[in-house]
Amino acid sequence: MNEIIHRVNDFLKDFPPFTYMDKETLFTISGKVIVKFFAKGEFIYKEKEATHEFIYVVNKGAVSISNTEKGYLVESCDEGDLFGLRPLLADSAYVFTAQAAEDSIIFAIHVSYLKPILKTNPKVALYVASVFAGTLEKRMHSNVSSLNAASFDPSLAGIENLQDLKVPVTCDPHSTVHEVAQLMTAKNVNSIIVVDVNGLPIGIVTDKDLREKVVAGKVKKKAAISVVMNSPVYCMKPSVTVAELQIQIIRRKISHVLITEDGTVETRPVGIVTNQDLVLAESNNPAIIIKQIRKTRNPGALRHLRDVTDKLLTYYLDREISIDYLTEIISEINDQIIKACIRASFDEIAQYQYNEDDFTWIALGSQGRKEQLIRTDQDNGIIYKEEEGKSPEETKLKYLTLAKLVTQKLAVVGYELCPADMMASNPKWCMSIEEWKQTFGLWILEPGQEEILHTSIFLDYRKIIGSPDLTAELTEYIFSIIDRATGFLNLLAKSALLNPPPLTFFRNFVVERNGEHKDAFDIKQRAMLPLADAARLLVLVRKVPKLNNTPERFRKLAEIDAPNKDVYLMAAESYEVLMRFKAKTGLATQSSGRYINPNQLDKFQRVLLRNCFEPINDLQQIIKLRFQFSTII
Amino acid sequence: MSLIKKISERLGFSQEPKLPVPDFYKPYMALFEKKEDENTLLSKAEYAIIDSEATGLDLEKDEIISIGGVTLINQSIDISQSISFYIKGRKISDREAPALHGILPDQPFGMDEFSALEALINFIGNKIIVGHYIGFDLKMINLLLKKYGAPPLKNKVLDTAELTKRLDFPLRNYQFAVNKEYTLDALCARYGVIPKARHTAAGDAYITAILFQKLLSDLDKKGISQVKDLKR
Repeated sequence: MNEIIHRVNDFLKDFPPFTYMDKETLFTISGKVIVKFFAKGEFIYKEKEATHEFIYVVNKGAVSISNTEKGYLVESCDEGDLFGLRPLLADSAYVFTAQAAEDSIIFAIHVSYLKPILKTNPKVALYVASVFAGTLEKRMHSNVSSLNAASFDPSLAGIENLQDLKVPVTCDPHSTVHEVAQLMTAKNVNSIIVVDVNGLPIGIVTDKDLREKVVAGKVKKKAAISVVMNSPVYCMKPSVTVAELQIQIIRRKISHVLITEDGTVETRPVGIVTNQDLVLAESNNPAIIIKQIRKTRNPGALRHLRDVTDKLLTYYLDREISIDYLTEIISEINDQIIKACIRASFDEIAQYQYNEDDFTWIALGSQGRKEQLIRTDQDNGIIYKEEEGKSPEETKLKYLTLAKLVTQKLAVVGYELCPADMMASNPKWCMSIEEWKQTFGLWILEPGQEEILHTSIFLDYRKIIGSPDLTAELTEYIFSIIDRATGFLNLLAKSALLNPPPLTFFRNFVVERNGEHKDAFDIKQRAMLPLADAARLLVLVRKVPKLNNTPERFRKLAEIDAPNKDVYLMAAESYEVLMRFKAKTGLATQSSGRYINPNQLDKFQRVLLRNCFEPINDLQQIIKLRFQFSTII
Repeated sequence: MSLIKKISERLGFSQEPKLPVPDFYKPYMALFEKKEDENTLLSKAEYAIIDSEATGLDLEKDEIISIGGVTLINQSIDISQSISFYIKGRKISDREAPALHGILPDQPFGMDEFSALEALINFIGNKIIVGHYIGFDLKMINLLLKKYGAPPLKNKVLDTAELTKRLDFPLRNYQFAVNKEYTLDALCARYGVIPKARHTAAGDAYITAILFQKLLSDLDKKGISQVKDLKR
């Protein structure tokens, strides 16, 4: 019982990675801390100096980490920040210099107390790795990712959390339909797995198959079950998570997933998961929400479903569910809501007949990129085919009538009308395919500044409903003229370089100087936009079609531009982290979430955010090099 | 007269032992046989920063309740070497009680008085004793030593309150010093040390040690970098 240890413990417990340690471990470590005072200007260590056996935490004051040889500041550490982690990696010399920027009290912790914790506590390991990746180089980055997938999502429930994972009932392919139906009734199951002589799955038969094919009389009762079965069976590994199962069930429109030893049909079945099991696993299931949206035409009811989606989103964000799953689910829900509003409008407009083959409703901007996790302004447009026997004015009026109704319905659901009027209800953005081509042609071949602003939103168009031919035609047209559009690409590149990496000299966040959001950090403008702009430009240059989502664009770029692979992969990951931040802030503050108060971030979030800014600089270098800007500007 | 000597004399350290010293005191006494090098850098010297809590301020009647201490060696405070003793059977002081809330075990605890004293002088050794308004604490400790037949402490002593005054008044015109500006709380506020777990002996010793490190660095900037410089 020693109050000094309590005092040290009380300090450390508020800062990661110590927050992730259990009480007992933290108390033991607190009792081993060495406290050192450094007056302003004193060195804690210098570059090339042999590493100490300690890592350091700033208790009070500030420490600057810098490259004295090249004369730049790497990082400014303040209260609770960790630095000098090299000894944990068994590195023999420091790469940077640590100097007290103010009178500082530093806690030193011997590495021998930390090393065992790194091995057993993945959260601690991840944090340490991310600090390392942030202040030093990126070589730890890949380790961060693997840790992330393996253990940083402890709450991402595995299928063992499902009520009861059923062992599948099996039969051989020669059993008759009648026998199988009897067996299924006797075992009280709604599916059966057809297995070969080695017990390997070759097909699946569900209640629905029996109803649709047998009861309806298409297949005789004495027919072999192999005639009715669906093959191959979709299989997943036992380590699959509930979230991954949900993705596949929604994507593949299947009702059952077979769990086999290694996730392929080459191994034996160990369990079967049905859509219903997943419904039971979570009452707010995205598949259920989508189902309800499909049945609904009333905007008020749609609004309620979208509110439920926000709750689901909060739940997922809290559990660190991966962003690509989240964007997939939420975009699907958003799309379904738009479709419901469009189809409801079809029914309400008596004077016109709409045919989904004749037009395409496109989502623009973040919705076009499938990045809209929380409801924001609408950005949309219509591409239609000119109709024979009708004047262009008449056709335009027909679609404007539709657009006005749809945008109003969407506003009721909670997608506010676009203040810049970039909506299908604006005659400028409700055009025939020929008009769209002309517009893009003008933007691209005779560009000015305003066009660049437009194209950055319009280039991210994505089909929501209607004919895919129209968007394909537009894309083809754009690609056909892009090679002649040097000026346009240069302007686009210039605009992608407009927002420099958002850190000040002291690695503080660049915050807004005045206005309503004074002292807040604009995560959208300063961090996400530069990434999204870079991704759009780089895929456009390479004519990659139908790829709108920013992280997906970066992953694609990593494939086709191998030398810069690391930058792209890091950018993809960063963008996802930023999306998560924005959505979390938005849900917490009932806003768009773009303004973040850096002072309210905890240490971990700050480190994570800072790391996300790093690829911005690298990408801008790639763009500068590609477009030879240093010579142009 | 040197600051150290003045304090030491005032506290009655200079008396020679007349009686045979008790066994527990002998190893401690042996540490002082070697003449100390006065050129020792302040930054290289070893310090024991201590604080105690007593039942009151009356040297005759009151007793020590608790003693806390940290060492400063090599400009480092090693938390694992810190001490926090509670004397068995004594009521926790009203001052300490709030800070100890939630830390104290329910059952009676603590060391017997003699063991605590023995452990304390082992802890102090021949280090320079540092404390904030340390005079009263030392008098209490010396009285306790006397109770067990031992001579007073032999260490050099530095007082953080007096060191601060010395820095504030280079001309030594201490008559202008306002005492309430030199309490531990006031100095914590001045130097931005967060006074957490204050008013426990160990907590105060820790804070004093932090403060002392800051003072050492300020002294160094004024060219006071050796032990002997403090004599001037």
